[in-house]
Amino acid sequence: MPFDPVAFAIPLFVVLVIAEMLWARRRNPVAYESRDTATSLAIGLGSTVAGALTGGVVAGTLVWAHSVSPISLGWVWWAWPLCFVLDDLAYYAFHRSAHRVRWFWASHVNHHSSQHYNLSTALRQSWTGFFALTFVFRLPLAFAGFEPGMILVCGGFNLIYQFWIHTESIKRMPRWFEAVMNTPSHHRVHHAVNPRYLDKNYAGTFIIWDRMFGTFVAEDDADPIRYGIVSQLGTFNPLKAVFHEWAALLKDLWRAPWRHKLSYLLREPGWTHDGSRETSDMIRARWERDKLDS
Amino acid sequence: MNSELLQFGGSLLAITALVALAHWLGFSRSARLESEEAARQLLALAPGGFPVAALALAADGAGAIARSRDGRLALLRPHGGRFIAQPLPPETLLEAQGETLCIHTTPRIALQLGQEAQAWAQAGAQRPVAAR
Ligand SMILES: [Zn+2]
Ligand SMILES: [Zn+2]
Repeated sequence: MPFDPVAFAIPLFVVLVIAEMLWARRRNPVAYESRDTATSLAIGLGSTVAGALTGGVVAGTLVWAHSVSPISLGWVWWAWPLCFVLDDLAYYAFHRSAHRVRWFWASHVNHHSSQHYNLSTALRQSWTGFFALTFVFRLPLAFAGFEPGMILVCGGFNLIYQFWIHTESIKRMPRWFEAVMNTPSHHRVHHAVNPRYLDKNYAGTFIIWDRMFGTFVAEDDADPIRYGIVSQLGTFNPLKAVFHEWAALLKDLWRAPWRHKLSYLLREPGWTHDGSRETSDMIRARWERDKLDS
Repeated sequence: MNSELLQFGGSLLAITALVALAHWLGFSRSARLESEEAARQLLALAPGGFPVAALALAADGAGAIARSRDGRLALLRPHGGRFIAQPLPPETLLEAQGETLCIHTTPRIALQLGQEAQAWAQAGAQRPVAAR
């Protein structure tokens, strides 16, 4: 890839993490945890290695898809904003699948493995996204005639945008901004394990997709957010964070009766053929029941 | 290849510096439970849910033990700056040593429960196997 905007943004990430730490020390000392931050940064570094190793194949696949497409939009200026918005829609589709299909969840879960929510959490990026074939969500853009380089640059800027929203230091942005854009408030909801918030707010840059497709929930200040995953990891080992769900998936696939194996692969996390675990929908239903009882 | 190695080394250095800064700013403290209400909220989020029937907070807030309405036991264990809800299977040994309740999980944890330590140790011993 000729130009990777994310590589240039890394110094900015470092400066903002330091600024947020200084804010946290005075205003919210539990926002950071040094070992948790070490894990986040180690996972972030590992993900750049994984990205460097597999980036060529991803770019090559996009080039191939673009070459077989009858359309080529070239580098006209208006293709840029269009590409960014459509890539963000593709991100929404990817991200929703990442939470609703166990195969994709296995590669995405490490982004959610921290019980903290700060700018360092944003760097918990996937190592196994390429292996899980998550780049197929980008292919439709290349088939639609967008330049592969343009798609990758737009994806890079989308990722950079998503960095700053991983913070508790910003309560709410102006109303118009909260209506259109993904914000710290909306994305805190996405990282929450509170039943009302599970599997909501999949947006990358624009929150409009969640509003359009019915997956939007606003943050309720009366319900303090707890971050992480339903079964909290309980370890700071980055390798556990990255690979634990792959291991669990393999174990389930091995044990499951043949007619259920595909369901373990493709159904939502928490699904079991014997109902021995809970999906996010089951957790939400239990929570609604408990609310009525009390 | 060399420039990539250099970039990796630089990143590793930056990470070490950031983590050292986080430690120096005081972000290595263990989690403390502020109230029984906070403990109840955390237990409610445990996998499968945990409707609390009885609860005991450690005096220093460094953990809690609870019994659910259906007779299960669970532990709130600090993990860095946050808590983990950990179910205690019937075979877990609970032992009172004075005012301390020792829970033989891996890793072992000791809760300062005062007078209540004895009662919780007995509750642990008397759990029906059906609660499994
Ligand atoms: Zn997610
Ligand atoms: Zn996130």
